[in-house]
Amino acid sequence: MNPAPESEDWLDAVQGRRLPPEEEARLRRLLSSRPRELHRLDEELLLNRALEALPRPPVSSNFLARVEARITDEDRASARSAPAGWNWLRRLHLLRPLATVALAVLALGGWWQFQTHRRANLATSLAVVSQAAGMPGVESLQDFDAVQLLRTAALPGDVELLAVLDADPAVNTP
Amino acid sequence: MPEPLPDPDAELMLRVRHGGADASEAFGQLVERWKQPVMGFVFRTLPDLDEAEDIAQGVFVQLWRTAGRYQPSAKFSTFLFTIARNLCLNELRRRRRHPAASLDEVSAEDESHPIRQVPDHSTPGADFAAERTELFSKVEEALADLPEKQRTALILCREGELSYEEISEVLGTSLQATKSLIHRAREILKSRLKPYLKSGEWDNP
Repeated sequence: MNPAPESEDWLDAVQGRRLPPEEEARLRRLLSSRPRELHRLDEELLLNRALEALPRPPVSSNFLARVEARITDEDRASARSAPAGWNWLRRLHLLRPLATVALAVLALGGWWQFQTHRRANLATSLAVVSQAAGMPGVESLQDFDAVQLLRTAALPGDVELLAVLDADPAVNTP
Repeated sequence: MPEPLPDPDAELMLRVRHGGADASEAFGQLVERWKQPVMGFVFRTLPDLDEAEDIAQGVFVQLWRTAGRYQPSAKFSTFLFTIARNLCLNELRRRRRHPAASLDEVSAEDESHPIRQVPDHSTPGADFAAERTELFSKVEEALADLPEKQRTALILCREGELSYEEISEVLGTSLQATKSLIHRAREILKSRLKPYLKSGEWDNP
């Protein structure tokens, strides 16, 4: 059984669910000292009765059979409209990962093309500037990337050699 | 052994979701149990018996098709009435776009896929019409004139016997907003039906 609604909640209870007669009686007793609220309760209960008394719309006796027939018919209709040869169209969603990979490859190719183009432009610009300013030719920059990659710190062997040279003045004398 | 679910309809729905021969039987039980509340809900939203039955059948067709998406964490009634509300809203939108076209005309247009006719073994329409006195018509009119959300909240409360929380889930509103919708709907109905409510005719329809 539902708990008796407290005075603050009685409106929610009356509006939200069907009150059993004993609960309705308890509510009346609870509100007996408050005529305005009691009047309100009467109004709400009258509306409930009016809504509950509305005749229920009839449902055909073969409702389930009709639903099942519709499901079968719709299945047949969709099978007809999509012949077996075109069934792959329905599986388009399976191609989504492939499409993503293809898009990524295309994007990478585009980026590579752009970089190559940019470097070619840079080389052309340098050639023009070096000719105009009497700078070394572009050929001198051929191994630029490799030179840049060489270690710039002194090797241990070099350090030892310098120490020997510093220590022996005879060696330093020309 | 897995614990039985507190909602027996959720258990039936899981059987439908798993498929196989058992699915049809479970689906049949769900249809038999819920056809009247669904029909009541649809009819109060679209007050035409034939169209309401057509849409109510559509609700169960959709239920069958979407069974795979059902999660037992959701109460079955909220899942079912969410489908029912969506189909009603679609129909209302379609009517706004094509005010003169009825559902029959739409089916007739689609001649390439005729739907098999299942004969109706009952003739309940006549009895129903006789039951609908002038007073009931007034209430139905007043219900039909309510804003969609207010009407849906009220019908789910009365016809579907859904709790405030369940109605909130169907409507996608907060609990407080749902209570407010129902409260406002009832205030409108009370003011419109004031002359009739005290006639006492409701007690002996």
